[in-house]
Amino acid sequence: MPSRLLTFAGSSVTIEYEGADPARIVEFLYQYLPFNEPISSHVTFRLETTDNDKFYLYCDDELVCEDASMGVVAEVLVGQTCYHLADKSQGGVLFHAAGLAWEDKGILLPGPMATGKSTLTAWLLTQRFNYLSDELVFIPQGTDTMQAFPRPLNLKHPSRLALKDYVDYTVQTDRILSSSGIDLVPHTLFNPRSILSEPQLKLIIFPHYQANSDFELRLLSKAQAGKQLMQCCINARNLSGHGFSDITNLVRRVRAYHLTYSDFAQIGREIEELVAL
Amino acid sequence: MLNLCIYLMKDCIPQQKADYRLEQLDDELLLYHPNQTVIMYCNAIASLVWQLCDGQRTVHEISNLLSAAYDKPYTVVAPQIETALQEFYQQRAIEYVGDTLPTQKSP
Repeated sequence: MPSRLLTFAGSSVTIEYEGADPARIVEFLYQYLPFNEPISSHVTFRLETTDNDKFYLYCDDELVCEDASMGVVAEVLVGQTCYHLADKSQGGVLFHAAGLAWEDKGILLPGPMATGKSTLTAWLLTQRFNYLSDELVFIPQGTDTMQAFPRPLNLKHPSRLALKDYVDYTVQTDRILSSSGIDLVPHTLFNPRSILSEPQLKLIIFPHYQANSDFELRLLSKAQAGKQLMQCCINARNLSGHGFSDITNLVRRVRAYHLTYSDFAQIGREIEELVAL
Repeated sequence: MLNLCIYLMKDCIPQQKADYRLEQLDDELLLYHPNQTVIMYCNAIASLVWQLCDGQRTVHEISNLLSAAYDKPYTVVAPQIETALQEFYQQRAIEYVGDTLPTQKSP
């Protein structure tokens, strides 16, 4: 059975797949993930399809998803992959964060779910920023290098309205996988010229979408930034001292802002100007 | 939850609990307790309060020191000190020495 070893953030998982559609799903989800130095994987997924046109996804032989929708099974597979990679991640700090690059400068957008990270990332791609990830960014210990997990953007359906000027979801159906709640959209639909890289972290922005709010871009003190960043570190339990020193060292070197917005027009070129400073 | 007015606490002697890791960031602090996975942000005045919680000084002495340091009346700095002490106590970052806190209960 064909398989793909995914190595990221000091952790590995294996995905075995059988059949044309499962192969298409694996290619769609992980085509931009570089083939990193192999590490022994701690979890094996198996994705199969059968004559009744259903997909079956197993995690270490335990059935975790059974569905006829390619979008549903892709959403579950990529979610489980992120979870298991994070679970054993070590050798640096792994953030629940989006990542972008402007020229050779990296921008981290950390935050919990539902703060608008993915939608903001999609819009910034349309503004010529380069894609790194909308979910996981790893910074190896002792470096400022951003290594990202470049999955397709995971956009909740309400963001279709916000992004309708940039992607026509009705025309691009063959390039997007959808479930009842989300669309998995390749970053190249928002910026076909986007270049994947491992830039140096230069700017941290904690985004917060809030309907009808005024625009605010507020510089955080190092301690404020450190506290918020600790709360977005998802492999702390695997790190010496829970990554506290690594994170405080990071905020000593890198500026951090809190961004509140209700409309992309409010943001304009602000992020571009900040990262250029 | 402990919520005593600072004027009632003036003779209490706060003391830092062990095991908190500390990072000074400019004039502010981050305190982290690895076992309890508690992280606390301390602004400039809270940082000074923390550093003065040495198990020797009373709340009144701490307040007087900070009043002098900031060149502000006691009544101005006291509420900030009270807030910081309450936060430290609720997060179990300090304890009060002996029976100096008459109504002290575990938070």
